[in-house]
Amino acid sequence: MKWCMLGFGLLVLVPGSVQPQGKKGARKNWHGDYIVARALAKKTGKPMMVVFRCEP
Amino acid sequence: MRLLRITGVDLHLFDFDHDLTWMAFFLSPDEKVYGRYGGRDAAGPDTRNTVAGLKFAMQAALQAHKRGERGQPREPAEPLFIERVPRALNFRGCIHCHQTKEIRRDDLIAAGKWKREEVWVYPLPENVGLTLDKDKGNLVRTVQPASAADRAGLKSGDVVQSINRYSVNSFADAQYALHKSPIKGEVPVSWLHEGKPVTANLKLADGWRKTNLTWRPSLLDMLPSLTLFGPDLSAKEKKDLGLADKQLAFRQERPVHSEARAMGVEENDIIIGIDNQRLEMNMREFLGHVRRNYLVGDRATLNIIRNGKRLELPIKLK
Repeated sequence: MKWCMLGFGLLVLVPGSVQPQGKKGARKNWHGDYIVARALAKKTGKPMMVVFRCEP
Repeated sequence: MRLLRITGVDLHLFDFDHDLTWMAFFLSPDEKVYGRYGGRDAAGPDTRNTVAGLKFAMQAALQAHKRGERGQPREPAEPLFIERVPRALNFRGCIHCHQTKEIRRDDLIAAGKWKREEVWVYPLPENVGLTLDKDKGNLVRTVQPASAADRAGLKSGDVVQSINRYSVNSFADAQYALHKSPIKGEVPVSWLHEGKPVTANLKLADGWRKTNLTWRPSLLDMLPSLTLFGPDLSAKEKKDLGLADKQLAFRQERPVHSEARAMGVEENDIIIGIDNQRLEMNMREFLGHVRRNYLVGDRATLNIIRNGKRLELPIKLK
């Protein structure tokens, strides 16, 4: 089943990481894909800050 | 960046108050939680949060990471994805954050596993008598006399280290630790008093989790609305009826809502209370009082005066 926007806006910050090239809509040093960010954190050994922003 | 799909977000890992609009997690690379930042209360969405407080919590998480602390594992251990909850399969349209709670609650109700006390989620630190600093989230500002925190020995100026074995560096951390605490019993608490470590237990009495729930979108269908309305009596009218000046007393005006009529309320009835509580408030405050202290389905007694005679109407709240 396809799920539409849950209303979670998720941003993941891995300190010192670089956003993949060509990532549309991404902010500098922020990732929009948790799986990618988690893989990067594991690779670098750095912690993650995951922000949820929910529509009321 | 906003995700267009929430598929695969583990709600057991990202376990937080989904009635909120903003929450941050600090995680190790292997998904152990160092801490949380965010949270709110009935006063508003920003009353508990500051940039300085966020920075304090972030620095604490970085220090925990540098020390090689393990952090909190997900509880329970297996992941939870909202799309796999049976009730979610029947959901139409977009799902908002607070609706994940409603979906999960409906699932528990259908399975006969939901308990009434589960509405009292994410108690405030004030529920155990603690007020924490906004900028330094584990610094005790005040301790309410005779509260659980007071009896445990906490003092203003102390630095909370952990509650219920959860590290505390923010309001969100403290609130989560209390959310995971029992409805009655004891939980350990540790703190620094003048730099020296102290441990004790917080004794949690019946009802300690109760908080103003009226702001929670996930509970809108559980909070009752009394369909009563009318002007408050004047001081003279109250005196003529033998009522104290500040006592609740309002006259039900026309038209009487069908639900009120079904409860037995008639035009010109004087509503003076519920469950024989002595309430000093006006009509609007009374409606809020009922909403804050009762749930849909509760049975109560509405206290009224009709033609000079006191009556008790048994009602079921909707």
